[in-house]
Amino acid sequence: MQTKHAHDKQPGKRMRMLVDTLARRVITFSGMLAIISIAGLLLSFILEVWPLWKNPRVEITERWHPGELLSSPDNHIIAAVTEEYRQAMFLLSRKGQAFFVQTDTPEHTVLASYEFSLQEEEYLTGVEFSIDGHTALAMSNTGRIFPAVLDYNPWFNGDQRVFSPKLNLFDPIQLPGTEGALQAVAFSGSPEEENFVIAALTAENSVHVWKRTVESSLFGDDEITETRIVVPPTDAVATALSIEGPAQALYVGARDGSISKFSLDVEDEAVLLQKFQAAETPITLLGFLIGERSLVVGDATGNVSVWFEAFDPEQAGVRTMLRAHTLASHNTKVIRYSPSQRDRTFFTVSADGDLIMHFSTNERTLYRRKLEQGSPLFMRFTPKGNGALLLFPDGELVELAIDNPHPEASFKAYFGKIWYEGYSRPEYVWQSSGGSDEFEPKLGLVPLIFGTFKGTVYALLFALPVAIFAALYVSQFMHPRLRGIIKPTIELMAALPSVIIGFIGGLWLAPRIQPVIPALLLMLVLVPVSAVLLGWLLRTLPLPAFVKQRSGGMEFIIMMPVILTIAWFSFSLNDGLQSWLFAGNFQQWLVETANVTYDQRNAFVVGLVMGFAVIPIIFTISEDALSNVPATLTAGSLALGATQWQTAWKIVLPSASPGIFSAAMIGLGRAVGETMIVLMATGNTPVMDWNIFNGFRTLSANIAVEIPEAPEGGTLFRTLFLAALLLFLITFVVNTAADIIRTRMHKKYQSS
Amino acid sequence: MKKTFFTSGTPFIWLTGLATALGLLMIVGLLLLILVNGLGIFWPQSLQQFTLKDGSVVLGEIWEKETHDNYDTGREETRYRIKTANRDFYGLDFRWLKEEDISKTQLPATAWVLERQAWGQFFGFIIRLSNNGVALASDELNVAAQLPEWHEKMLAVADEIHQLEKGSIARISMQIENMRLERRKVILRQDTTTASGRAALRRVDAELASLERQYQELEKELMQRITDSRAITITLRTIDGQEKELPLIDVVRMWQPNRMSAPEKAGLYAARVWEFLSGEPREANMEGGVFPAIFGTVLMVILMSIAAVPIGVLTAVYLREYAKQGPVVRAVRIAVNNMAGVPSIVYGIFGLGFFVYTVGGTIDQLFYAEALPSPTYGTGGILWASLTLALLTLPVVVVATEEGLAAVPRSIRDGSLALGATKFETLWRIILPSTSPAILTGTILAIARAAGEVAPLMVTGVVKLAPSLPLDSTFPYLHLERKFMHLGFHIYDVGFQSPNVEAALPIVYATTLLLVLIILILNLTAILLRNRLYARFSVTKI
Repeated sequence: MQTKHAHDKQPGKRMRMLVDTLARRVITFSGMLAIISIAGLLLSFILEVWPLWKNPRVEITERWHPGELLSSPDNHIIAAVTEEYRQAMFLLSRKGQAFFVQTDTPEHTVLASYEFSLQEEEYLTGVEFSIDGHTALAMSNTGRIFPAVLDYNPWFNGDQRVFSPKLNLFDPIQLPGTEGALQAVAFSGSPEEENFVIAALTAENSVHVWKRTVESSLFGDDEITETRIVVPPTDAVATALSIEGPAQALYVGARDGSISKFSLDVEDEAVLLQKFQAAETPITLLGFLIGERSLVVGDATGNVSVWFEAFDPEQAGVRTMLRAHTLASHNTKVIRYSPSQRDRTFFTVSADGDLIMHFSTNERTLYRRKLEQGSPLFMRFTPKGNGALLLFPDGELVELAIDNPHPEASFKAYFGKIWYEGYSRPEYVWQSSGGSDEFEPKLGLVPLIFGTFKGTVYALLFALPVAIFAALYVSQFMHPRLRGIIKPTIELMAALPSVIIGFIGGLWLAPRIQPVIPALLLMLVLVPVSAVLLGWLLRTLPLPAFVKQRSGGMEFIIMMPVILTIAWFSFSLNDGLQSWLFAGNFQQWLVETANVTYDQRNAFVVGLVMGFAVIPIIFTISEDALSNVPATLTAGSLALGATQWQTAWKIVLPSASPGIFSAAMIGLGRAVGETMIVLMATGNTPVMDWNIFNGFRTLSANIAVEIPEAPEGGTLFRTLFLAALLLFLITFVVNTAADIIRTRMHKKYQSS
Repeated sequence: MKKTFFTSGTPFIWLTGLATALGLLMIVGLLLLILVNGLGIFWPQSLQQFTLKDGSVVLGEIWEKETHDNYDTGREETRYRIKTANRDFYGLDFRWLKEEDISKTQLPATAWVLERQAWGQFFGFIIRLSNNGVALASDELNVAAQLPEWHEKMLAVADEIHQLEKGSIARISMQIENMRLERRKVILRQDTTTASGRAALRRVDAELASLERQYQELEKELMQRITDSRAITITLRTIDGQEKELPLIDVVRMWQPNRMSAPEKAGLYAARVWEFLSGEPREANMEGGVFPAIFGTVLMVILMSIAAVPIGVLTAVYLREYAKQGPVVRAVRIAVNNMAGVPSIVYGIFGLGFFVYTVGGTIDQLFYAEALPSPTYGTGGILWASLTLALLTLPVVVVATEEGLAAVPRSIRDGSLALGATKFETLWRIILPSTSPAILTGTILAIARAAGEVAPLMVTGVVKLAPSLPLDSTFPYLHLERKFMHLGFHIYDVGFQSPNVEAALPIVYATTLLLVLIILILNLTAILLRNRLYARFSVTKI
C-alpha cells in the first residue's frame, strides 16, 4: 500500500497516463480518418455523379404586364424575347410598337422604341423569330410581312453592362395572292444577308415562297434576283411549314398527316423531294432544333416526334427522312414550340395549355406542367437556355428560370442505344465533342466498356497461360536453388511503371510487329511443338544418365536458346511466308480477304504488352497458392506412383485452383484499370469490334484523354466521374471477391 | 513401370518450362532493350560520308540496318537508316539509303557534330569563324584550332545571360506580379474613395512604377548583352554545299567524332550523360536534360511520403493494436487492401474533383481572391498531385506496416506490459522499433509506386514544361501550388506528343532507363529490407 501510494505521487505517472490516452485518441482518430477517407472517396464520386440524374428545376421568377407600357387600350403585346444575360428585353405590340426594355431593374425602363409603318386598320397577327432570336418576321392582317433585325448592342460602362439597342426595320413584303391574314411564316437567312427566303401559309392553306438570291457575276457586279414561287399543290391541304436553312428545303405539313419536302435550290420552282407520312391526323407544328437538322413534328392529337434525314436503313445509298424520336405526347393539338439555343431541349405546348420540356436525343421528358392560364400566345427560350418567356392572352408575361444542367444524361443515354442526328439507326456511340456549338454530344459508355473488356480479354488470353504455367513450373518442377532467383525477378517486374511498358509497346513494338505478323504466327505453332519435341528427344536419345538427371528442373534454361533460334528462324522466313501465303503483303491480304484494315496500334499489341504487365502479379499469387499446397498431399501422390506431372496436374493444381482463380481476378482488375498502356499502345478510337488488328478505347484511357477538356461541373465532367465510378466498382468487387477466395483457401490449408 | 511419353506428362512439363522461359526472355529482352538504347544514345558515333551512284553525297550516322526480300524482284535488299540531322536544311532528321545505291563510304576527318539551341544537331563542316562579319579564321584547320577557345568564352557569356534572366529579371518580374496582386487586394479590401485607401493605392502604384523602371533597365541590359554575344558567328556548310551562319553562342556542344580517340569519346560520353541528368530541357523537351523532371519527381515523392507514411502507420497501428478485432475490422482491412487495386486514374479524377476543385477552389476564394479568376490552388499543382498519390499509396504503407506489426511476437508485448509499461510505451519503445524495417519497406514500395505513376498526375498538375521549379530561392521557397515536371510523364509526353517523335526517341529511351533504374533500385532495397526483417523474426513468420 505504502509503495503504491508513493508511486501515485510520482509526477511521471500521471503524465504517462496522459500520454497513453492521448496516443490512443490520436491513433484511433487517424485510423478512423483513413477509413472515412475510403468511404469519402466513394461518397465524393456519388456526389459528383448524382446531379446527372436530377430533374431540371423550373421556377416562375416574375409575372408582369408589359401592356402597361402601351398607351391605347386595344393594343397588347404579342411577342417578347430577351438577350443573353436577360438584362434587356424586346417587346412588340399588336399595333406595331416595338420596345427595348431594361429588365434587370424593377421599373422596366424603356431603352428605345420603334414603330412599324402599318396602314389604317392594319395590325400584326404574329411574329416568327430565327432560332438565334436576332431576326424577326411580323405578319399583318393584310398579309404583309415585316422583316426586322434586332441588335441589343451591349457594352461596358466600367463594370456595368449597358445597352444601346437598335431595331433595323426593312420594307414590308407582300406575296401576291395573299391579301388576307397569314397562318404562319417560315424563313431562312436574314434581310441583312444576301440570301433570304420566306415561306408563307395563307388562310386558304396554300404556300407561297419569296426568295432573294445574290449571284456574283464575273465583272464583280452582284446580281440580285427576287423570285416568287407558289409551291405546287400536293394532294393534301397544307397546315404547317418550316424551312431548313442550310439545305434550302421547305417542309410543308398537311391535313392528312403527311409532310412534303421541297427543294428551293432551283431558280423558280419548288421541287418535291420526298413526301412521307408523319402522323395520322393533321400536322399542326413543324420546326427545327438547333443545327437545323432535327425537325419537330406535332399533330392534332398531341403526338410529338423528331425527324431527320439519314441514309435509309433499307435502301443503301439513299437518304430519307426517318422518324428518330417519339416523345411524350399531349392530349390535344400541339400548337407551339420553342427550341433551346444551347442543346436539343425544346418546349411544346398544346391547345389546352399543357407544357412539356423535351430532350430530343434521349427522349427524356424534362418537365411537364399544366398552365392555369391556358396556352400562351407566345413562348420562347432565353438564349442561354436558363429560362423561358411565356406571354398569355390576358397580357401577363411569365418569366421562368430553368436549371437544366444535364439534359443529355440518362441511364439510356449511357448504357443504351441512342439514335443520334444523321444516323440511320440507334447506336452505341462515344463522341463527346465536336467542332461547333450545334454538335450533339454522344455519351454512350458502352463502346468504352466494350473496349475495356476487349483489352482485358486479349491481355489475359496471353497472360493467363504464360503466368499460370510459369507458376506451376516454378513451384513444382524448377530447381529449388534457381527458384530463389527467378521468383523475385518476375515479382520485381510488377513494379515496372506502366508508362514504360506502354512506351515500348506503342513506339518500339507496334511498328516492328507490323511487318512480321506471319513470322509471329509461325512462332506460335513452332515454339510449343519444339518444347514437346525437345522433351521427347531428351528422353529417347541415348544421352549419358547425368545429363538426363540434370535436365530436370532446368528445362526452362534449355528452352531459352531454342525459343531464340526458332524466333530467328521464323523471322528469316517472314518474307517467304508473306509471298507464299499472303500475296506479298499481309496487311493488304487482310483487307482483301477479311475486309479488316490493320491499325498499327491494335489489340494484338495491347494484348502482348498489357499481358506482359499483368503476368508478374498473376504469377506471384498463383505461385504462392501452388507452393502453399501441403507437401503431404504431393508426397502421398508421388508415393502412390503418380508421375511428377500427374501429381502437379491432378493434385496440386486443383487444390490451388481457388488461389489461381483469385490471381486471375486480380490480374483482370489490373488490366481493366490500366491507363497508360492502352493510352499509348492503342489508337484510342471508340469503336466496337472484336477484331484483334483494330484499336479500341477503354474507360480509363477515355478519362485521361477527355478530362483536360471537360469544364468542371459540366455533363462531360460528371460523365467521366461516372466512368471512374464504374471502374472503381468493377475493380473493387473483383478484388474483394479474389481476396475472400484467397483467405478461404489459406484457412483451409492452415487447419488441415 | 514404364509409362509412355505422353501419359508420363513430360511434354507438359516442357510446356510449363516454355512459359517460364518465355516470361524470363521477355523480361530480359525488355531490360536489355532499354539498357542498350538508353545508354548508347550519348556515345559519339562516327560520321560517315556516303557517295551515291547518282553522284550525290550524304553525311550521317548509321542507326539501323534492315534486310528483307523484295516481293517483286525476289532479291534480298539491305537498307540503312541514316541520321542526317540538319533539320533546318532537310526538314527531317533521318533518311533511308539502299545499299545498292551507295558507291563509296568514307570517314571525313574534319566533319563536325554540333548540338544547337534550335533545330537539333548539325552534321557538316565549319568553314569560317567571324566576329561581326570579319573573319577570324577562314579555313577548316584554323577554325578547328581556334574554335574551342572561343566556344569556351561564349559558353561563359551564355551562362552570365542565363544568370541574369533567371536571377535579377525573374526576381523583378515576380515582384511586379506580386505588386499587381497587392494592388487588386487594396481595391478589393479597402474603400479607395477614403483617404487611407487612396494613400494605400498611391503607395502601391509608386512601388509598381519603380519596379517597372528597374525591370526595363535590366531588360535593356539583357538585350544589349544578347546582341553583343551574337556577334561571334561560325559559318556552317553541309555535305551538299548549303551554307548557313550561326552565332557561336547557339552551339551547346561540338565535336569531331572521326578524329576522336576512345578516351576522348568516353569523356564526351560522360559530359553528355551529366548534361542529361543536370541540364534543362531544350527544343520542346526533345533535347538537353531532364533535371526539372527528376527534381519534380523527387519532390513530389517526398511530399507524398510526408502525407502517406504517418497516416498509413497510424492506421495500421490502429487496426492491429487498438481496434477491437472483429468482422468490422476485417472488412476494413479487406477494403484497405483492395484500395491498392483500384485503378490509379480513378484516384486521379478524385484528386481533380476533390483536392483541386473543391479544396483548392475554396482556398482560392478565401485567401487568393485578388488573383481570381486565374486560380492559384484551384488548378493542378504539386501539392494536389502529392496528396492524390498519398491516397493511392496509403494501402501499401498500411499493409506493409500491419505485416511488420503482426511479426512482432506476442511474448515481447506481454513482457513489456507486465513490467508496467503503458500500451503506448510498449508501442513506442518496443513494437515500433522492431517494426521499423517493415515501415521502411512500405515507404520504399510506396515511393516506387508513386515514382512510376503517371495517369493520376496527368490530371492533377503535371506539365510538359514547368517555367520554374516548385522549390527556389524566392519566398516562401516551397511553392506548393506550382505545376511540376515528372519523369514518367516526360516519357509519355515526349514520346507521344512531340512534333517530331523520331528525333525525340533518344531522350525518351534515356529517361526510361533512368526511371527503370530508380524504381528497380528502390524495389530491390525494399526486398532486401524485408528479407532482413524476416530473418530477425523468422520464428513468427506469418
